[in-house]
Amino acid sequence: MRQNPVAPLLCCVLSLCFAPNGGRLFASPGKGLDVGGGALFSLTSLPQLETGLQPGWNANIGLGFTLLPWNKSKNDNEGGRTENSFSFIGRVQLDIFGLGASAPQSDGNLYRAWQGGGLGMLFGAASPGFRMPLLGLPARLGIEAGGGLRLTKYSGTGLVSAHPAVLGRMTLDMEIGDPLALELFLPFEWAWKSGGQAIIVGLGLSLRVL
Amino acid sequence: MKIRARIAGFSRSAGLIGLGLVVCLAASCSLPGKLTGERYALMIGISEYISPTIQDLGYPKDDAQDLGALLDQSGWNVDSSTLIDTGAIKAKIKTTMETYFKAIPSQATALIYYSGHGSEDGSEAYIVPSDYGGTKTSLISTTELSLWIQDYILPYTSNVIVIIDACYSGGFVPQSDSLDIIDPDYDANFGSSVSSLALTGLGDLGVLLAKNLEQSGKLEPIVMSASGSEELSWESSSLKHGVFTYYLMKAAESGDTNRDDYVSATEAYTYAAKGIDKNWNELYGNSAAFYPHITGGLRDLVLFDLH
Repeated sequence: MRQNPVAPLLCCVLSLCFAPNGGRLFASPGKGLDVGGGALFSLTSLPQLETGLQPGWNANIGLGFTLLPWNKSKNDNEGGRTENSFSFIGRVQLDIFGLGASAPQSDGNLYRAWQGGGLGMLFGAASPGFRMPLLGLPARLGIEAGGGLRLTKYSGTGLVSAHPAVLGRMTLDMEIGDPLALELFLPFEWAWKSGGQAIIVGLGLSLRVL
Repeated sequence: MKIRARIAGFSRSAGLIGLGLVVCLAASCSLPGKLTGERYALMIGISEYISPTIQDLGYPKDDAQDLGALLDQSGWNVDSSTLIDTGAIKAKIKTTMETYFKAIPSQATALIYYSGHGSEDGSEAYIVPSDYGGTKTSLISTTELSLWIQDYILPYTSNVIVIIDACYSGGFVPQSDSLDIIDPDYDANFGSSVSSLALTGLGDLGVLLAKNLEQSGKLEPIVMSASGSEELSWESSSLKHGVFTYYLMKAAESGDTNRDDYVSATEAYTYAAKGIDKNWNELYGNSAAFYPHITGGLRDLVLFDLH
């Protein structure tokens, strides 16, 4: 019987990723402040028009916090940090963002550029700490969802408007040295704006102070 | 092994298809295609009024004809001769709108441009046809123009641009989903008051959210005006045009801010508004300051095709 050559490698990676021992893994802090930004694009649509792609950017400042450790950690009573357990997390964030105009459609219609800011609140879960393959950094994955309000202005005009949005965020936190973590995040936003919809996704990087 | 190979093959195929879809989606959404829709513009310019009691203006006829020529170069089908000067009486404006736009292809882009005298009575704004006889009924009110657009243009196309270079023309501009924080009687430097914009917006957050909820997504005409609903619009002998129309035409040369070889109505508006603020308002001060306005909404339309 031929042995699968991938299996031992997979076991090795998994044990590296989720090793519960071998020193301190990702510290799940009580709270942490992060500042970051990234690129995004919006798939914007109105009922009578084709969907348009609007490129954009985002910068945000957020306050993340751990609500509840899912599993009791043996380190719970040692310095107030919970290690290597699933946890409920939450986050309040302040965003500023800008979206450029879409390219014109063949009939001459396009979507306007807009910019603005907003406040959002998200809740979710974070994985246990693990070591990043290759890099060896303590890391953890997170997923959060929530809602927010956006105050926007159509670029180049004095027209101010506001709309609600569903927000989402997937994160990979990598601790680069106590108390700093680098966070790679995939933001998601589903906005109801002016009778249309904007589905905004992107990629960003932020620096988190644990 | 066969199963695994098939799964691996499937994953690779799915990955390639997924990547292909993303690339196609991005390409189809982001690359500016050639405009294939037809565009029709009806230009109205009244320098000369029939009644001797109304002061003639210097440049509305030139405004209509020169902007018309520029639109023509940009691929529009333009009528800039029917409704000029004393030919632009109220009844003829109405019937020309009815017949001209009835003949356009479905979902073509329609544009109405007006340059001439404007008026207001506190509740409505008016444009002044050449046969104005001193009564309110001989003017064209915002209500009347809206009805004519609704009856004579919207049945054929939802792609409509209305440009009005007249005093008090901001009264013709609905705000749609937005609050226009530019004062209808502009007397400050708009560019320097960005922080006050945010505060205004925050103060009216509830109103703005309610306005957003009211929107059905129906495509409304894009309306831009030379001035606010409480202020005069000016013409200039040195520019030999209405000031707003002059900078609107300049936008065809220099208003393509995102360099995609199209100047949208919003880009042209922004260029004209900034041009007026920098070159006119700074020079003449608050007594003659004015600022253009434009409708809200997500949708924009190409005004000048620079290809």
